Amino acid sequence: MKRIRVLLIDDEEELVSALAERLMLRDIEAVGVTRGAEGLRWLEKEQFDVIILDLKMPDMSGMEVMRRVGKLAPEVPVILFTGHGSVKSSEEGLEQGAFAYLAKPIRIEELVATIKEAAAG
Amino acid sequence: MRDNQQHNLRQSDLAFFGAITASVTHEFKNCLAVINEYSGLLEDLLMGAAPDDCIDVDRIAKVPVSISRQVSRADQIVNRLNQFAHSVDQPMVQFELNELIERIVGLVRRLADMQRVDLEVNPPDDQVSVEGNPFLLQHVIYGCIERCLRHSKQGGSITITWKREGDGAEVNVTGAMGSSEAGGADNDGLLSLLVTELGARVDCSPAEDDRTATVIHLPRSPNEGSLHVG
Repeated sequence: MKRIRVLLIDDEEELVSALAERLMLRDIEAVGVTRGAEGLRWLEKEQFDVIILDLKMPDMSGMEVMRRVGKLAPEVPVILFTGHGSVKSSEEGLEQGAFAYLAKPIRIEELVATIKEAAAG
Repeated sequence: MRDNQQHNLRQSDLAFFGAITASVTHEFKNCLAVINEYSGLLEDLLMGAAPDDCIDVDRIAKVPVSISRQVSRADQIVNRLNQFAHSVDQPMVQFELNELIERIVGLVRRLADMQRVDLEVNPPDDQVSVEGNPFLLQHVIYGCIERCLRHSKQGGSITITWKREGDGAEVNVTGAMGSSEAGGADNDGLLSLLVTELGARVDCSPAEDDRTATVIHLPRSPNEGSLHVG
Protein backbone atom coordinates (compact mmCIF):
# COMPACT_ATOMS: atom_id res chain seq x y z
CA MET A 1 0.00 0.00 0.00
CA LYS A 2 1.33 3.42 -0.98
CA ARG A 3 2.63 5.46 1.95
CA ILE A 4 0.99 8.79 2.69
CA ARG A 5 3.34 11.63 1.74
CA VAL A 6 3.30 14.79 3.86
CA LEU A 7 4.91 18.19 3.35
CA LEU A 8 5.65 19.76 6.74
CA ILE A 9 6.23 23.54 6.83
CA ASP A 10 7.22 25.19 10.15
CA ASP A 11 9.94 27.73 10.95
CA GLU A 12 11.04 25.76 14.06
CA GLU A 13 13.77 23.58 12.58
CA GLU A 14 13.99 21.15 15.51
CA LEU A 15 10.22 20.71 15.55
CA VAL A 16 10.22 19.87 11.85
CA SER A 17 13.09 17.42 12.29
CA ALA A 18 11.60 15.56 15.28
CA LEU A 19 8.07 15.49 13.90
CA ALA A 20 9.21 14.26 10.47
CA GLU A 21 11.10 11.44 12.16
CA ARG A 22 8.08 10.48 14.31
CA LEU A 23 5.84 10.40 11.25
CA MET A 24 8.37 8.22 9.39
CA LEU A 25 8.29 5.77 12.33
CA ARG A 26 4.51 5.61 11.75
CA ASP A 27 5.00 4.82 8.07
CA ILE A 28 4.12 8.31 6.88
CA GLU A 29 6.71 9.82 4.55
CA ALA A 30 7.46 13.39 5.64
CA VAL A 31 9.43 16.15 3.93
CA GLY A 32 10.16 18.99 6.34
CA VAL A 33 11.05 22.60 5.44
CA THR A 34 11.36 25.77 7.51
CA ARG A 35 10.18 28.42 5.04
CA GLY A 36 6.91 28.88 3.19
CA ALA A 37 8.69 29.75 -0.07
CA GLU A 38 10.75 26.56 0.14
CA GLY A 39 7.59 24.56 0.75
CA LEU A 40 5.98 26.00 -2.35
CA ARG A 41 9.07 25.09 -4.40
CA TRP A 42 8.75 21.48 -3.20
CA LEU A 43 5.06 21.51 -4.10
CA GLU A 44 5.87 22.66 -7.64
CA LYS A 45 8.09 19.67 -8.33
CA GLU A 46 6.74 16.84 -6.17
CA GLN A 47 3.41 15.26 -5.22
CA PHE A 48 2.13 15.34 -1.68
CA ASP A 49 -1.02 13.93 -0.14
CA VAL A 50 -1.26 16.37 2.78
CA ILE A 51 0.40 19.64 3.84
CA ILE A 52 0.99 20.49 7.50
CA LEU A 53 1.50 24.21 7.83
CA ASP A 54 2.44 26.55 10.69
CA LEU A 55 0.38 29.75 10.78
CA LYS A 56 3.13 32.11 11.93
CA MET A 57 6.33 32.10 9.88
CA PRO A 58 8.85 34.84 9.11
CA ASP A 59 9.07 34.89 5.32
CA MET A 60 5.44 34.26 4.44
CA SER A 61 2.45 33.79 6.75
CA GLY A 62 0.73 30.42 6.86
CA MET A 63 -2.40 32.02 5.40
CA GLU A 64 -0.45 33.36 2.43
CA VAL A 65 1.14 29.95 1.86
CA MET A 66 -2.30 28.37 2.03
CA ARG A 67 -3.64 30.81 -0.57
CA ARG A 68 -0.80 29.91 -2.92
CA VAL A 69 -1.27 26.19 -2.29
CA GLY A 70 -4.90 26.70 -3.23
CA LYS A 71 -3.76 27.86 -6.68
CA LEU A 72 -0.82 25.49 -7.11
CA ALA A 73 -2.31 22.25 -5.75
CA PRO A 74 -5.94 22.83 -4.75
CA GLU A 75 -6.56 19.11 -4.32
CA VAL A 76 -4.00 18.82 -1.48
CA PRO A 77 -5.60 19.25 1.97
CA VAL A 78 -3.89 21.57 4.44
CA ILE A 79 -3.71 20.97 8.19
CA LEU A 80 -2.91 24.17 10.07
CA PHE A 81 -0.62 24.17 13.08
CA THR A 82 -0.10 26.98 15.52
CA GLY A 83 1.00 27.99 18.97
CA HIS A 84 -1.74 30.60 19.01
CA GLY A 85 -4.57 28.51 20.27
CA SER A 86 -7.00 31.34 19.62
CA VAL A 87 -10.49 30.58 18.38
CA LYS A 88 -10.27 33.47 15.93
CA SER A 89 -7.18 32.16 14.14
CA SER A 90 -8.67 28.66 13.92
CA GLU A 91 -11.93 29.99 12.47
CA GLU A 92 -10.07 32.11 9.95
CA GLY A 93 -7.96 29.15 8.88
CA LEU A 94 -10.97 26.91 8.38
CA GLU A 95 -12.81 29.66 6.49
CA GLN A 96 -9.79 29.95 4.19
CA GLY A 97 -10.18 26.27 3.36
CA ALA A 98 -7.92 24.43 5.80
CA PHE A 99 -8.90 20.80 6.36
CA ALA A 100 -8.22 21.00 10.09
CA TYR A 101 -6.55 23.13 12.75
CA LEU A 102 -4.32 21.74 15.50
CA ALA A 103 -2.83 23.68 18.42
CA LYS A 104 0.75 23.07 19.52
CA PRO A 105 1.99 21.10 21.33
CA ILE A 106 0.18 18.41 19.36
CA ARG A 107 -0.71 14.85 20.28
CA ILE A 108 0.93 12.61 17.66
CA GLU A 109 -2.04 10.21 17.61
CA GLU A 110 -4.40 13.10 16.83
CA LEU A 111 -2.09 14.37 14.09
CA VAL A 112 -1.74 10.94 12.47
CA ALA A 113 -5.51 10.38 12.57
CA THR A 114 -6.09 13.81 10.99
CA ILE A 115 -3.46 13.15 8.29
CA LYS A 116 -5.08 9.82 7.40
CA GLU A 117 -8.53 11.41 7.32
CA ALA A 118 -7.27 14.24 5.09
CA ALA A 119 -5.46 11.86 2.73
CA ALA A 120 -8.52 9.63 2.40
CA GLY A 121 -10.76 12.55 1.53
CA MET B 1 -2.02 66.05 31.12
CA ARG B 2 -5.72 65.97 30.23
CA ASP B 3 -7.99 63.09 31.33
CA ASN B 4 -8.45 61.71 27.82
CA GLN B 5 -4.69 61.82 27.24
CA GLN B 6 -4.15 59.91 30.50
CA HIS B 7 -6.77 57.40 29.38
CA ASN B 8 -5.07 56.99 25.98
CA LEU B 9 -1.72 56.57 27.68
CA ARG B 10 -2.98 53.86 30.00
CA GLN B 11 -4.68 52.06 27.11
CA SER B 12 -1.42 52.24 25.20
CA ASP B 13 0.49 50.83 28.19
CA LEU B 14 -1.95 47.92 28.34
CA ALA B 15 -1.67 47.31 24.60
CA PHE B 16 2.12 47.30 24.91
CA PHE B 17 2.00 44.83 27.80
CA GLY B 18 -0.43 42.66 25.81
CA ALA B 19 1.68 42.71 22.64
CA ILE B 20 4.82 41.68 24.53
CA THR B 21 3.03 38.93 26.47
CA ALA B 22 1.36 37.54 23.33
CA SER B 23 4.63 37.39 21.41
CA VAL B 24 6.59 35.86 24.29
CA THR B 25 3.97 33.23 25.12
CA HIS B 26 3.80 32.23 21.46
CA GLU B 27 7.56 31.70 21.44
CA PHE B 28 7.35 29.80 24.73
CA LYS B 29 4.70 27.50 23.23
CA ASN B 30 7.07 26.75 20.36
CA CYS B 31 9.68 25.59 22.91
CA LEU B 32 7.08 23.34 24.54
CA ALA B 33 6.11 21.95 21.14
CA VAL B 34 9.73 21.02 20.36
CA ILE B 35 10.21 19.45 23.81
CA ASN B 36 6.95 17.55 23.29
CA GLU B 37 8.13 16.15 19.96
CA TYR B 38 11.57 15.18 21.19
CA SER B 39 10.26 13.45 24.30
CA GLY B 40 7.73 11.68 22.08
CA LEU B 41 10.53 10.67 19.71
CA LEU B 42 12.50 9.25 22.63
CA GLU B 43 9.48 7.18 23.59
CA ASP B 44 9.00 6.08 19.97
CA LEU B 45 12.64 4.99 19.62
CA LEU B 46 12.76 3.14 22.93
CA MET B 47 9.27 1.62 23.12
CA GLY B 48 9.00 0.89 19.41
CA ALA B 49 12.06 -1.32 19.38
CA ALA B 50 11.35 -5.07 19.55
CA PRO B 51 13.08 -6.97 22.43
CA ASP B 52 15.88 -8.28 20.18
CA ASP B 53 16.37 -5.04 18.23
CA CYS B 54 19.56 -3.03 18.62
CA ILE B 55 18.78 0.42 19.90
CA ASP B 56 20.51 3.28 18.05
CA VAL B 57 22.24 4.72 21.11
CA ASP B 58 23.87 7.56 19.19
CA ARG B 59 20.51 8.68 17.83
CA ILE B 60 18.86 8.46 21.21
CA ALA B 61 21.73 10.31 22.92
CA LYS B 62 21.08 13.39 20.78
CA VAL B 63 17.50 13.74 21.99
CA PRO B 64 18.17 14.84 25.61
CA VAL B 65 20.67 17.39 24.26
CA SER B 66 17.96 18.92 22.08
CA ILE B 67 15.48 18.88 24.94
CA SER B 68 17.99 20.56 27.24
CA ARG B 69 18.63 23.26 24.64
CA GLN B 70 14.91 24.03 24.40
CA VAL B 71 14.57 24.10 28.19
CA SER B 72 17.37 26.69 28.35
CA ARG B 73 15.67 28.71 25.62
CA ALA B 74 12.32 28.56 27.45
CA ASP B 75 13.98 29.52 30.73
CA GLN B 76 15.55 32.59 29.11
CA ILE B 77 12.19 33.58 27.62
CA VAL B 78 10.40 33.28 30.96
CA ASN B 79 13.15 35.16 32.85
CA ARG B 80 12.89 38.02 30.40
CA LEU B 81 9.11 38.15 30.70
CA ASN B 82 9.35 38.01 34.48
CA GLN B 83 11.78 40.95 34.56
CA PHE B 84 9.51 42.85 32.19
CA ALA B 85 6.49 42.17 34.42
CA HIS B 86 8.40 43.41 37.47
CA SER B 87 9.37 46.63 35.70
CA VAL B 88 5.97 48.01 36.73
CA ASP B 89 6.63 47.39 40.44
CA GLN B 90 8.07 50.83 41.14
CA PRO B 91 7.51 54.02 39.12
CA MET B 92 10.80 55.55 40.29
CA VAL B 93 13.83 53.31 40.70
CA GLN B 94 17.53 53.15 39.78
CA PHE B 95 18.28 50.67 37.00
CA GLU B 96 20.94 49.78 34.43
CA LEU B 97 20.10 51.09 30.98
CA ASN B 98 22.21 48.31 29.39
CA GLU B 99 20.12 45.59 31.04
CA LEU B 100 16.79 47.31 30.25
CA ILE B 101 17.57 47.79 26.56
CA GLU B 102 18.93 44.24 26.15
CA ARG B 103 15.72 42.99 27.77
CA ILE B 104 13.27 44.97 25.62
CA VAL B 105 15.23 44.05 22.48
CA GLY B 106 15.16 40.37 23.52
CA LEU B 107 11.39 40.63 24.00
CA VAL B 108 10.72 42.22 20.59
CA ARG B 109 13.36 40.34 18.58
CA ARG B 110 10.82 37.73 17.51
CA LEU B 111 8.60 40.47 16.02
CA ALA B 112 11.57 41.75 14.01
CA ASP B 113 12.55 38.21 12.96
CA MET B 114 9.01 37.57 11.69
CA GLN B 115 9.47 40.53 9.35
CA ARG B 116 13.02 39.47 8.45
CA VAL B 117 14.33 42.76 9.87
CA ASP B 118 17.69 42.65 11.63
CA LEU B 119 17.62 44.17 15.14
CA GLU B 120 21.17 45.22 16.00
CA VAL B 121 22.27 46.35 19.44
CA ASN B 122 25.57 48.19 20.02
CA PRO B 123 26.06 48.70 23.77
CA PRO B 124 28.61 51.17 25.18
CA ASP B 125 31.73 49.88 26.96
CA ASP B 126 30.54 51.03 30.37
CA GLN B 127 27.28 50.59 32.28
CA VAL B 128 24.87 53.52 32.18
CA SER B 129 22.76 53.71 35.31
CA VAL B 130 19.56 55.81 35.32
CA GLU B 131 16.81 56.57 37.82
CA GLY B 132 13.23 56.69 36.67
CA ASN B 133 10.32 54.63 35.40
CA PRO B 134 11.71 51.51 33.68
CA PHE B 135 8.34 50.37 32.31
CA LEU B 136 7.74 53.73 30.62
CA LEU B 137 11.21 53.78 29.10
CA GLN B 138 10.71 50.24 27.75
CA HIS B 139 7.41 51.40 26.28
CA VAL B 140 9.06 54.39 24.57
CA ILE B 141 11.86 52.23 23.11
CA TYR B 142 9.31 49.65 21.98
CA GLY B 143 7.28 52.45 20.35
CA CYS B 144 10.35 53.60 18.40
CA ILE B 145 11.20 50.03 17.30
CA GLU B 146 7.60 49.32 16.36
CA ARG B 147 7.45 52.51 14.24
CA CYS B 148 10.59 51.39 12.37
CA LEU B 149 9.19 47.88 11.88
CA ARG B 150 6.04 49.31 10.31
CA HIS B 151 8.14 50.98 7.63
CA SER B 152 10.91 48.40 7.24
CA LYS B 153 11.17 46.06 4.28
CA GLN B 154 12.42 42.47 4.54
CA GLY B 155 16.20 42.55 4.84
CA GLY B 156 16.13 45.96 6.51
CA SER B 157 17.73 46.75 9.84
CA ILE B 158 17.11 48.67 13.07
CA THR B 159 20.12 49.71 15.16
CA ILE B 160 19.97 50.63 18.84
CA THR B 161 22.80 52.39 20.65
CA TRP B 162 23.00 54.30 23.91
CA LYS B 163 25.52 56.31 25.89
CA ARG B 164 25.98 59.00 28.50
CA GLU B 165 25.12 62.45 27.21
CA GLY B 166 26.52 65.16 29.43
CA ASP B 167 24.91 64.51 32.82
CA GLY B 168 22.08 62.57 31.19
CA ALA B 169 21.85 59.67 28.77
CA GLU B 170 20.84 59.20 25.17
CA VAL B 171 19.19 56.22 23.43
CA ASN B 172 19.31 56.11 19.64
CA VAL B 173 16.92 53.94 17.60
CA THR B 174 17.81 54.09 13.89
CA GLY B 175 15.63 52.51 11.25
CA ALA B 176 13.18 53.09 8.40
CA MET B 177 10.42 55.58 9.00
CA GLY B 178 7.52 57.22 7.14
CA SER B 179 8.35 60.64 5.73
CA SER B 180 6.13 62.55 8.15
CA GLU B 181 7.45 60.66 11.18
CA ALA B 182 11.03 61.15 9.96
CA GLY B 183 10.26 64.86 9.98
CA GLY B 184 9.32 64.57 13.64
CA ALA B 185 5.57 64.07 13.39
CA ASP B 186 4.02 61.64 15.87
CA ASN B 187 1.05 60.51 13.89
CA ASP B 188 -0.96 58.98 16.71
CA GLY B 189 0.35 61.30 19.45
CA LEU B 190 1.08 58.44 21.81
CA LEU B 191 4.85 58.45 21.57
CA SER B 192 4.87 62.16 22.47
CA LEU B 193 2.65 61.52 25.48
CA LEU B 194 4.90 58.70 26.65
CA VAL B 195 8.03 60.79 26.26
CA THR B 196 6.41 63.66 28.19
CA GLU B 197 5.34 61.32 30.98
CA LEU B 198 8.89 59.96 31.06
CA GLY B 199 10.30 63.47 31.40
CA ALA B 200 12.45 62.94 28.32
CA ARG B 201 12.83 64.64 24.94
CA VAL B 202 12.92 63.07 21.46
CA ASP B 203 14.26 64.30 18.15
CA CYS B 204 14.62 62.74 14.70
CA SER B 205 17.33 63.23 12.11
CA PRO B 206 18.37 61.53 8.85
CA ALA B 207 20.79 58.60 9.14
CA GLU B 208 22.69 56.39 6.69
CA ASP B 209 20.94 54.06 4.22
CA ASP B 210 17.79 56.23 4.05
CA ARG B 211 17.03 55.51 7.69
CA THR B 212 16.05 57.93 10.46
CA ALA B 213 17.65 58.23 13.87
CA THR B 214 15.19 58.74 16.72
CA VAL B 215 17.13 59.97 19.73
CA ILE B 216 15.61 59.82 23.22
CA HIS B 217 17.32 62.32 25.52
CA LEU B 218 17.02 61.27 29.14
CA PRO B 219 17.34 64.03 31.76
CA ARG B 220 19.79 64.14 34.62
CA SER B 221 17.57 64.50 37.63
CA PRO B 222 13.97 63.99 38.77
CA ASN B 223 13.62 67.78 38.84
CA GLU B 224 14.17 67.84 35.10
CA GLY B 225 11.68 65.06 34.52
CA SER B 226 10.98 61.50 35.60
CA LEU B 227 14.52 60.24 34.95
CA HIS B 228 17.79 60.75 36.79
CA VAL B 229 21.08 59.45 35.50
CA GLY B 230 23.64 58.12 37.95
